[in-house]
Amino acid sequence: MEFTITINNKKIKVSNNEKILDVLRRIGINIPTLCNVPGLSPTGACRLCVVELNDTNELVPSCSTPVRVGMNISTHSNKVINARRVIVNLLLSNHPDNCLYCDKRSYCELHQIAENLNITDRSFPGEPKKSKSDRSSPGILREMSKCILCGRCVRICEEMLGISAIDIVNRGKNIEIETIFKKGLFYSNCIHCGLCIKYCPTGAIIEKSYVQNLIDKLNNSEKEKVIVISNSTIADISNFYGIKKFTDCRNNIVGALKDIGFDKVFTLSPGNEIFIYENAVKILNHIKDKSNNTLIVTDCPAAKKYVKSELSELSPLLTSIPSPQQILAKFFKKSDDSNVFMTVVTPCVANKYEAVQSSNTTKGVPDIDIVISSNELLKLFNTYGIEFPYSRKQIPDNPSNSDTSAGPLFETKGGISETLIRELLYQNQKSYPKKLFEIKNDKNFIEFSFVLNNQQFKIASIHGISSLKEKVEDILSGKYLFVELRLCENACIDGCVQLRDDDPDKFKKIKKLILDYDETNNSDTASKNPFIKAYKNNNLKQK
Amino acid sequence: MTLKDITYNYLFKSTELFEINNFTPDLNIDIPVVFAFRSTCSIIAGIDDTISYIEKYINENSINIKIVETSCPGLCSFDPVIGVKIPGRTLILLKNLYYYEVFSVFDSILNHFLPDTKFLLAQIYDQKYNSWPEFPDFFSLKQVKIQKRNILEPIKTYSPISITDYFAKNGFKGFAKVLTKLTPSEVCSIIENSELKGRGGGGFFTGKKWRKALENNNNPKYFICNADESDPGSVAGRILIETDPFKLIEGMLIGAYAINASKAIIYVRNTYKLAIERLKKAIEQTKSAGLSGDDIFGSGINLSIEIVTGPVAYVCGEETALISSLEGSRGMPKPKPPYPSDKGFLEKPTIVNNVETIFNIPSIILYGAESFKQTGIKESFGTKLFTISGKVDYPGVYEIELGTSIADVLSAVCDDESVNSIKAVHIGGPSGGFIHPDKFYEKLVFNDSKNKSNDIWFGAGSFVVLNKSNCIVDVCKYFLDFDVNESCGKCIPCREGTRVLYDILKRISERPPTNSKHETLQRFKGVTQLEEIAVVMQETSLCGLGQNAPITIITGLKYFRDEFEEHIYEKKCDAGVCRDLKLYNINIDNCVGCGLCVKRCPADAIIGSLHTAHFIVQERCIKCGNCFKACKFNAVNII
Amino acid sequence: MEEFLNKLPTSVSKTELLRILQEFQDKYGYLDNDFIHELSKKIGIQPGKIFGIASFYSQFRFKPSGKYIVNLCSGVACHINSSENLINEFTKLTGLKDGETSTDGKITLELVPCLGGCANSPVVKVNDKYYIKVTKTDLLKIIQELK
Repeated sequence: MEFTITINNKKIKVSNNEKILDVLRRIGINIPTLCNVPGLSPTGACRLCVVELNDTNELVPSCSTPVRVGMNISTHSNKVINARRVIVNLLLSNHPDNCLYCDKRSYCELHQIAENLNITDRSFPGEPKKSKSDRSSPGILREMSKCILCGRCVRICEEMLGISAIDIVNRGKNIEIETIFKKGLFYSNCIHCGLCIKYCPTGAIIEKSYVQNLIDKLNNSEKEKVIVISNSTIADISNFYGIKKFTDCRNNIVGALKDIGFDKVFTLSPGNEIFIYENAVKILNHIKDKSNNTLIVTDCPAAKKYVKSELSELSPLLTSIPSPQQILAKFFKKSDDSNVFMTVVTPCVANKYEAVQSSNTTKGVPDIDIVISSNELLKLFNTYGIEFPYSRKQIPDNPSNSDTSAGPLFETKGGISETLIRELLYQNQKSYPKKLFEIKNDKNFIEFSFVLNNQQFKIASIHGISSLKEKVEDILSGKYLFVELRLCENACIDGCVQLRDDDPDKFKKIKKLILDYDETNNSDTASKNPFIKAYKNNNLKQK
Repeated sequence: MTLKDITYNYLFKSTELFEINNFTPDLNIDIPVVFAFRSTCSIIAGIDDTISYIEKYINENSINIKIVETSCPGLCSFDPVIGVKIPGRTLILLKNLYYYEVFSVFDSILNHFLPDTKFLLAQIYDQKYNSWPEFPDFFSLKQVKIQKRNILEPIKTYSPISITDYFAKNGFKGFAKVLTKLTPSEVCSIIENSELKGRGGGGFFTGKKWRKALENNNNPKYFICNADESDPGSVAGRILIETDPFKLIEGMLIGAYAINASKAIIYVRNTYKLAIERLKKAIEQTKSAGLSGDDIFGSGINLSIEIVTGPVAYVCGEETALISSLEGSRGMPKPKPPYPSDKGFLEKPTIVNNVETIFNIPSIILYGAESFKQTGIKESFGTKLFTISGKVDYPGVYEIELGTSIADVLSAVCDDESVNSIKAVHIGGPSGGFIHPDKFYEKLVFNDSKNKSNDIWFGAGSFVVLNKSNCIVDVCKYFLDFDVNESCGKCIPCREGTRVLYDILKRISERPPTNSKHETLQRFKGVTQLEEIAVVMQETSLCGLGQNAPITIITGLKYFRDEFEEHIYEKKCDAGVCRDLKLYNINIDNCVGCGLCVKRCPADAIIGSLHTAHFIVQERCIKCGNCFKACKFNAVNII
Repeated sequence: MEEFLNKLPTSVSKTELLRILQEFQDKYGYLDNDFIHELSKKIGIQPGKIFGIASFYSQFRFKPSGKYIVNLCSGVACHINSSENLINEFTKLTGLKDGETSTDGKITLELVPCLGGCANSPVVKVNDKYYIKVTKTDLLKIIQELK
């Protein structure tokens, strides 16, 4: 049912049950919010979104109040603005003052809201909160003195992931957001996916930064400095700076990193391709053995940890091929006394967690020396004054000089399935269609069938924990040959520590960038890469 | 005869109501009977020791005396209260009968001698029995006269957990009427016509709420009693349940029937051990009597009743928070709409009513809506339980007819000398406010918050009396501290607002760390900030806790602004409560070591030998000011 | 703990959570990490969430309490008739704040808003014993008795 209401003296058409906030956003009125998470039901916790009902002069939260016939609203009356100012001042009264040093300084939502309300001094005096930081996780840092208790992280962890590694603890003045028995993320069932970092409005949850360590090593280490860059990072930077061709940006980055001081620069593609290759072999054997189980193919450390701890019945179905970066780590650090210092640039913090797992260490030392995020790479470039488009272009070092376009495609939504099927078909019949899914898929769950050796197989592409949970029975019943699994809705490109960009079309643009590269490239599957051919022949496998 | 047969005979065989005299026990027994008025407050006062000594007395003297355990009349200053009925004589009530007094008092009474006057509380006159000299008429006591005991008996002379005794007082006849003669809609109409308003603080029309739930066809429905009662200063719910658990059960069965619910749940605060114990026994008997369960007495109605113990959080007194707690979550309030009568427990239509509200139901059903309206005044019918405490001579739980003035209540609970030294009354607990003596003529009535006619918002009935030895700023601080700890923490205005309000009050009531201009300015700004934050909290908080928390400060500023200003500008606390406002120290340049201050110091806080400069030990100093007054050499500084 | 969990049905409804936690604490004194993790499997609520829910309520403890639980009334009547000094006094004498247990494991302080003895305030409760009209000297005696 549609009707009109009055907003700021203008008549606006609304539908029944729409929340006031959604209407306001629709018509371009900006209301400050802190606890609101698009896609999750509103909690009405921060009260910043209040608007005034002119007939009763009541203030109501626009996020959770539905529109009603005859409503007459003022969104920015004196009463409303005053209420918002007092609410923000209350938050600021015990908020730390060290914005200069805070990682979120340019992106803090609280900061922006305070600025928009013209708050220029601490109205209500108070002592900045003193809370312990949680440094237990290798990827996620929690500085709880900056927490404003908006509750977003808790709801993400609970409603999107069903993990509740953190929850609201205690009440009243002792209220805080904490892990069980306050032991820290590392000792909870946290999967270190970093979604909480993405949604936190202040600097309370940020990624653990290693960029300064890296710079120190660059200047002081005698070892050979090797750096591996994920294709998601390259695509992200490419989109951010408006560089039209994927390979141009890639080569720019390589040039820049060489100038900074890295000895060898690679993309993650060789790792991706070995991963694809090994999984293809496994699947072909699986078919030969006439096994009825569904295989779960994933490179996502967070998804793997989730399956192992929360859906342990699915655990035996994981193909357990190491992730691309770990594959490369074993490849570069061939011998015990390796003289290589290896850095990996990733789009997410789960890789930071993965790098310290005991299976990825040798004599207690992680094989990958430092993992930094796309964000941190940008900081590195800023430190060294590198701007894009950069003046120098250089092709990545061997074996990354023969990268196929499957590498980047692998990291997109549906990419594991796309590249894996391509490889299976190539290995079997040497021919395959270029665009399998029409890759317009925006769905977090897609089923797809293909024919291999006159046999039809079904696969599924799953993104996100909620989609996974719905399909557990199907997977256990062996409905699919394999399923691809990633935690982030838009796969690795959507990683939690990719560059901050509010462009709603970001994923479409990045995908187009990668597809354009793939479309015109003949070297588009793992086995076409001479490196992989050599790998196949020499069995250059893990030590 | 089984209990079910007895029940049938009492309730369904005939609809006649018994002629009962609520006040006189019909105990024509030929042995003495001792009534132990036992409830939590009397237990704290020591009644268990008293009872064991009475038992000892009985054994040692080998006499036949019956002891009946019942519940206290709510006159807490007289605890432990013991009633004695000697055959042929009226029932007498003894007050403050501590265990060590038992033997001598009983020796007197059993021989028809008067015990010491300090034990004489009252007697219940009855033509059938010979009265005692000196014991005043119970109903002439001013503490009794001020009350109108409708939902509680003035004095209870039978066990709270005897269902047959409850039948004898026409108990469960209301429920029987409902089951056999009325439809749910008719029951709702009666309650609507009675204009009964919720007694937990909300003050909404009970009948209207029930009607909404009845009209919603989403099943199953739930009828919940809110007995969480964490209001510091209000124990009405506990007294009601300890005294008459069957009445609560009857009210709940009627309410569940009225909205077509099949499950009635009583959410009691976990720490109310005695109340829970008695309630559990009462529920068992109700079940054995066939009054709860499936197909009650062939009516086709299924009603089950159960207790859930709340793990204690004040905010769970808010209905949506209570429902959250029942669902196994944190007790955090949810936005309304949707209202619980629409989507409550497990998203089904739910009614949450306060204990006291439910206690009113059986008599309204039995005697009619018009009968209920004979008490109270327009827009505030009926009575309300007030828990009166603080600087009063007769603290206790009083059932007061709505429309009674505060002044009348005060003259009943205080002796004359105390009345004149009353500084203020704080009504309504953390969600209430102060009333100034100039306004004591005001009547205790419901306050329609939209047309604020007075400042009274009595909430759950906490009624605290303050005199000159209490500091208004300190009392504000106390309630704010409570709010800070009990806020669920969800919304910013309440969580941060209560914290900042408390901080400001703390700053006002303590000596500033330095005397800098900045500090002084901050203190001066204090009052304006209090008002600023109070308004926004009222306008934007998610639930009643945050919305009403500032009322104490607002009324405090309204009536006692000068006291706040004295604290801020003169760093003075007249009541002497905010001792940290001042720091006393000795100027060694001026001190000659005469030792006069040492002699005058009541806390032994000054040290020093003769003719040498003395020194005040801060930890021991109680800031009485004696040394300042005593010193002839201007050596004592107050900063 | 094993037998407690074994007595529970194979799958437990979420609405039973608080009741189960109360029963466990009544028996064993406090909620420990192992119990919460085991209960989590039966009730289908994550351990982090169970911890968050339980910590909201005053009743639940996560550490063993002392031999003597001292309840000081923080209700309004006791405050008006001056018991706030008692709370400060107790902290001065024992060093304990609300919820804390002494290092020798003997005394735990738990503040209760209203014990129910408003006419006899200030009221102090030690385990099951009540003390009424308590003064600072009385408090000192009580603490000495406990040590």
